Amino acid sequence: MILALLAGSALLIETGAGSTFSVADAPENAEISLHRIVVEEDRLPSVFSTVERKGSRLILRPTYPLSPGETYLARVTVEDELVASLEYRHKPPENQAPPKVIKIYPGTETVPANLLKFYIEFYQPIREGREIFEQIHIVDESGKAVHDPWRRQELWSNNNRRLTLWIHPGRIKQGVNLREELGPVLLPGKHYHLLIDESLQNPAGLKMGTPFRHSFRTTDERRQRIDLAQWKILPPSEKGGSLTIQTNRAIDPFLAERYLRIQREGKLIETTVKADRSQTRFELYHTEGWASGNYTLQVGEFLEDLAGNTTRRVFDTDLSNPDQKPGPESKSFSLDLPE
Amino acid sequence: MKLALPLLSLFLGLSYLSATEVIREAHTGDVELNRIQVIHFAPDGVLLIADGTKSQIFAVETGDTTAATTRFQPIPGFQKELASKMGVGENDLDIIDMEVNPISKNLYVACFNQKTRTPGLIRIDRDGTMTPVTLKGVKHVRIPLPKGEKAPVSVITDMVWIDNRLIAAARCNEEFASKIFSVDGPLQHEKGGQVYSAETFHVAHNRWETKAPMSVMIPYEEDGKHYIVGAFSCTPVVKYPIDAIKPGAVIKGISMIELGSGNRPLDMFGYSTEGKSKVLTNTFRFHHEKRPYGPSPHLAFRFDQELLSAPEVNDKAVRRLKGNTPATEQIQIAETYHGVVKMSRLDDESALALSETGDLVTIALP
Repeated sequence: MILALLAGSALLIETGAGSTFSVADAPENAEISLHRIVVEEDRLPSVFSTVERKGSRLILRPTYPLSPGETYLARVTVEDELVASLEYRHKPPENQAPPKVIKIYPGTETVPANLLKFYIEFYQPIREGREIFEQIHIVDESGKAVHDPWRRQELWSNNNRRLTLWIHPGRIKQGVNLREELGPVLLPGKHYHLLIDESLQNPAGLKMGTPFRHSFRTTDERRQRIDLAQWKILPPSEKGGSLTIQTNRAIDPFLAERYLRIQREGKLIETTVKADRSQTRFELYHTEGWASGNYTLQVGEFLEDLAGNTTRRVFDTDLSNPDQKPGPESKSFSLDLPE
Repeated sequence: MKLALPLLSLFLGLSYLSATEVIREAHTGDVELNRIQVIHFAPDGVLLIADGTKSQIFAVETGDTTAATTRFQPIPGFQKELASKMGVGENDLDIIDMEVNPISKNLYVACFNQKTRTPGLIRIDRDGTMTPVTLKGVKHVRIPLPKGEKAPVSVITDMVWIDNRLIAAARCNEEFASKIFSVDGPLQHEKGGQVYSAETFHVAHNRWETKAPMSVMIPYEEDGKHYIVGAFSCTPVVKYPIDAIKPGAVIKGISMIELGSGNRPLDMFGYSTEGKSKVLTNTFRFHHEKRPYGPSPHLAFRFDQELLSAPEVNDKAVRRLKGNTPATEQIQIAETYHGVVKMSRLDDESALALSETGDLVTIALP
């Protein structure tokens, strides 16, 4: 509990659980309000709150959570005359660590020059906002940042720890005026690094402090469908082991988690999927353990490689072109495991 | 004769006093939101609130159904004032969406406090009074979005109410696909709808493609047939027949207009002036530094609605520019809308706009 006493006034403002502010023995005509304090500014408009009177006690409850690190002023007035006030700092969470990148996808050393997206995983939640597109760059071999490479739509995981960052598809698709005017973001056979500015912040405003770099090299653009005929399925050595799917190119690991599905006799079985760093090797664990029998790997139409190609279509496709027939979306296999 | 009833009737404020019910058997309780991504008014003062992060849309009875009798007063320094009332600095408060209630002409603003990571929903009355919209113990329905592996929606980019159904443009974090969510009215608590994939002819690309999520959309009617009209990044304007949105269908859009590359649509609405129906869309021009079209990267385009029923479509769709020069007088840059970040149609004559400087202003429709 924090008490404040204005000189000459007997009124006390108390803070309580849930950021409430209350005054005991408040005169009937007393009013209470809460204001954010900013240095060098006149008093700001009052914060959205509800005010309740319980007997002689006046209680103010902010409608929305108060912001960590901000300072507020609770004011009690009687007939517009200030009779008590309390300065209150809403404490930021203790022991905050600055933002830290823990993983970049694709984590491969090489990517196709028509790479479609990065996923950036952070150790803790990161501040949202359009400025993120100014804080993350692709830098070429000469140290020059590629002009405006991102499609500026923020896509965060629900916990704000993973950002999906799309390279602008208009600079990947052939014939699109954006690519014609600005050129592709990535050129084949070059070295680049993804650079995250030190100014990246967590929600409370704590900066990363040091820049983050992730280097990669580009190969030729990849404009072929995913072809399951090129994939190998390696059986588990034992019931509790993993079934390994070896692909002939890197696959989006988050879509793989969702779309690498195994059916046994027409029924979907429950598996967990683990990708290795190359994103070409996926280990599938059956929650009930593998058994001998006939299975089908189903990948569906939405599984993508790093360039957005699926079994059904090349990312940069012309749907009216009859030559581009969709490929198979499933592959059958058998397991013969020792009892 | 081509008709555009939803747009024309909207100008009269009639389509929002519906003869059909929007909500059936409303549930009374708390509306629990993780985020607000889009807000939109259905008839009868029902506010649709999209939260793709929790795969849900709420339809809330606001009860704000008294017709406006006074004009909306502009609010200089609006963003700063709203931030102060939200208890945070203006740089820490994002204005996510804003929508005029077509009946009361009060403005509803969805915002997001970066520091607390919580959404806010505020009603701005015509006299400038700002009040948090109560979401506890209110009459509403919750519409769950499919969470299945085939259609995991995480972002709703826009919503419309058309032909007694709710349609939302959706996408998921990992897939760059265009998805359309549809649920028939009357809306019922915990009763979901379906997600469909949509194909679009990208004029600038001269190809059919699916890999483009829709940014904004509006309802449109032509010869008694209902369409949604959507705008995409870079910037095709496409119409989709509503009757094609049915189970098992891949919905094919018809590209009608190409506004040019380097623009991302932010808001769009139809209106009628001097007996002519028009559409206004404001965009963020990410090409501004290299090739500006005005003093600000935020600019708006106005086009004649009749272009949406033109016989030339897809590869022959009308383009705003031929080379670097305007190709048609039917598509114009709305110069009075330079610097508009958000906008919502107020009435026949004007829209409410949030400027880059954080002011809430009324601007005459071009």
